[in-house]
Amino acid sequence: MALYDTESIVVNTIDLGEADLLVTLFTREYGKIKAVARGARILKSRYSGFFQPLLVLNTLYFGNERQELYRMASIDPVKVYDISSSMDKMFTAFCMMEVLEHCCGPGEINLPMYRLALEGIELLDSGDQGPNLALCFAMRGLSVAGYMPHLKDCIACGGDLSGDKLRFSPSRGGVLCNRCLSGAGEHFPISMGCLKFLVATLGLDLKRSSRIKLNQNLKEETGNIIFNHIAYNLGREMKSLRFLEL
Amino acid sequence: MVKRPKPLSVLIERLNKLPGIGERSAQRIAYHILKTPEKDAEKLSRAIMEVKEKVIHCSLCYNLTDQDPCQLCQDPSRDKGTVCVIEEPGDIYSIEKAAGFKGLYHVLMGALSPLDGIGPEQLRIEPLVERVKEGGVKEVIVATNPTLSGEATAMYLLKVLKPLGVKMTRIAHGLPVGGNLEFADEVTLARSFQGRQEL
Ligand SMILES: [Zn+2]
Ligand SMILES: [Zn+2]
Repeated sequence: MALYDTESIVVNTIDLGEADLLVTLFTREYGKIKAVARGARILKSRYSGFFQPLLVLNTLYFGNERQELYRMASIDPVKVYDISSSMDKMFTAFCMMEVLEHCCGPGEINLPMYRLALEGIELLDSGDQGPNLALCFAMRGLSVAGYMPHLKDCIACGGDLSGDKLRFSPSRGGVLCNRCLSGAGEHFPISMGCLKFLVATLGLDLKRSSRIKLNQNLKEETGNIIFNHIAYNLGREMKSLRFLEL
Repeated sequence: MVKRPKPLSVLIERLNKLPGIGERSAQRIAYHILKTPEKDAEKLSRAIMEVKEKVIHCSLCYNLTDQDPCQLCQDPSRDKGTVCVIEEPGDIYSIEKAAGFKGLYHVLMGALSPLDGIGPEQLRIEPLVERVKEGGVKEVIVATNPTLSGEATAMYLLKVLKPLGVKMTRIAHGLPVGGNLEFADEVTLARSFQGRQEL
């Protein structure tokens, strides 16, 4: 039996039994883990209020190494965020939770991802952040997790992407020029505007994500490309993306 | 290894599937049922079947009921101008026990939960919009849970109902009665500052 003491981000919680919570934590030092917090749903519990998505906590939990489920021992908040002050913020938060859920394997230590998450949460707390932050965060998360789509030239022939009728192929993991469509599996049209935005997200400071102007069509298109890329390459549906349009 | 009689293990297996009932509890309940008089066991199984056959959702408020509209919706002493929106039918009993609320209810049957793919269409939001549109509702009190899902739902309701000109209020989140500031968690404390009221 070992005791683990690390800073963590709350990724998600699921009700368990009468009063417990099954908590998914993205820990700084041990990657993503699941732990049971006994009695956490009782209002007077010492955990009360703390297992809210994206709160950053100092956590102490224990369990056997390589076991799948740990037990919470204690927590102590690092900083309390309020992300529930607007709908945009909340749906961006849901997207960030889902990126962490999908892009981090259980027990995989990923410090760059952890830092990205902290930065994203900090931004979410600091102002009225909307869909742009969610989309940028998803792209950066994919990049850090090693699933970055290929965007700088045609993934098949290496040719220039300046022409029209570009396509995005989730199975090839990138953009195709119109000469390379045969045998590329399912592919979707991608506009130059969307491609430019996707490229920009990768080099961009998250802070500046809100400065890029995205119209509704471009938002939807970008959301769709990211959704399909994640669905094919990670085998997961990023369900929260469509909520950005609510 | 000696096996249990099949009907007994089937019963244990079934009970084990119920929420909050582990293997040990399932065994204990199954052996208890085995020992009770046949009449009692029959009453239990009939009660289970009757719940399935007779309990429906009220067509107005989605409360659980065996008559439609439900008792609350039919009660002439309740204020039809105030509708309290909650996530689950069970929340009605908590509020009825405590709050001295005399209006009507509307059960959403859940809350927005993007990660589970639960959007507005999966909830009883459209019927609520219709209810408000029909007129007569002056205030909608949003009493969804103080979780991210509950808050997102509250904000979404505000967005779709406010333009209809109805007064929208949210139940306050704050410190537990009899509690002490010193022991309050930061999240609750921060929320109770936001929800402060003029004295
Ligand atoms: Zn090509
Ligand atoms: Zn009713």
